[in-house]
Amino acid sequence: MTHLLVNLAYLLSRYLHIVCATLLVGGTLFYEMVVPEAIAELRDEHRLAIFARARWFFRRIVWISSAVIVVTGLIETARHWPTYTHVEAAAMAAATTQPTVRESIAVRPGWWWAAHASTGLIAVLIAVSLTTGPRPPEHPVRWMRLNLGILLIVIFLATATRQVRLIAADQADSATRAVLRGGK
Amino acid sequence: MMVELGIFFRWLHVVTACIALGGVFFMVAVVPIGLRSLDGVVRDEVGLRFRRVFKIVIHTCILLFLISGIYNAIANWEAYRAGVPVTHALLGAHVGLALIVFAVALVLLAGRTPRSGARRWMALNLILMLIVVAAASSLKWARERGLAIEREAAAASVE
Repeated sequence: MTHLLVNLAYLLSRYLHIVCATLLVGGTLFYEMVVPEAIAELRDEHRLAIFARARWFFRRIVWISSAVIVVTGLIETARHWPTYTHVEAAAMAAATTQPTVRESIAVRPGWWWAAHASTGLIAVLIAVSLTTGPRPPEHPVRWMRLNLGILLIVIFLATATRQVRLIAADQADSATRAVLRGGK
Repeated sequence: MMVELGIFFRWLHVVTACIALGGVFFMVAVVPIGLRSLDGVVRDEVGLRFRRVFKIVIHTCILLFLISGIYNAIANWEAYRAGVPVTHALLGAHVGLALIVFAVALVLLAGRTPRSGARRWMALNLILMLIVVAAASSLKWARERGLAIEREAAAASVE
């Protein structure tokens, strides 16, 4: 029963992490690309009114999404921490008395996780700072564009982290089987 | 090369989902609030412009979803087979609901002017999209679980 609840909690946490990321990325893209295009021919006061109202509402979304992303990110990190910190690989290396197979930085999930977490934190901080305060910064669209680029990199790093984590799990599994075969 | 391609298509699928879901949310929740300050005629005109740009975004997203989705399904087929029947149930729900979402989006955005009740239908489509994401998220868990069970079975057979 506890196992099922823990699994459900992890599932919910991952789901919330993805949904909040979609709101942040999709909202930023919309704000940066669709809104300026749609209101280009309006008078200045109308344009500013639309931007201000949209920003006022978007602020809540950004704040809530950012908080949820950080919390669920911490949960996911705690879950996969043994893979990121090489605990399994080290144990296998000790068991087989052979050097670990993962030598390149590119196949260390912990490095990819660190890149994902740090870049993600930067993107979240930029998004929050852009929507904080009574007035937007001097070039809001340019900032949004920069943040969109960072967010796309963050998603790439998340994808790469997962892929490398699976490869690491596969390698640990192969090593286990080699040990078992050797012991036979 | 297969690993790099796998990462690329997964990234493409996730980014497209972010753009589509976030865009629909923006159209349903944020744009109407932004347009409230405008007069009737101007509001309708700006609303149409939003819809026109949004249509281009959604049509591109559907194309990218189909390309990356087909590649991901083929690449992960062995993993899906390892977790039958849970993986097939979730994959079926994910793909089936996604196709319904595409159809609703295409019908809603067809023509020069929006249909009556378009906003309500788009809100419904947003809920369906959230279910599609939930199915995808669960599918990933089921796929990894299936592979883990298969690994344990292989290790047990070696023992």
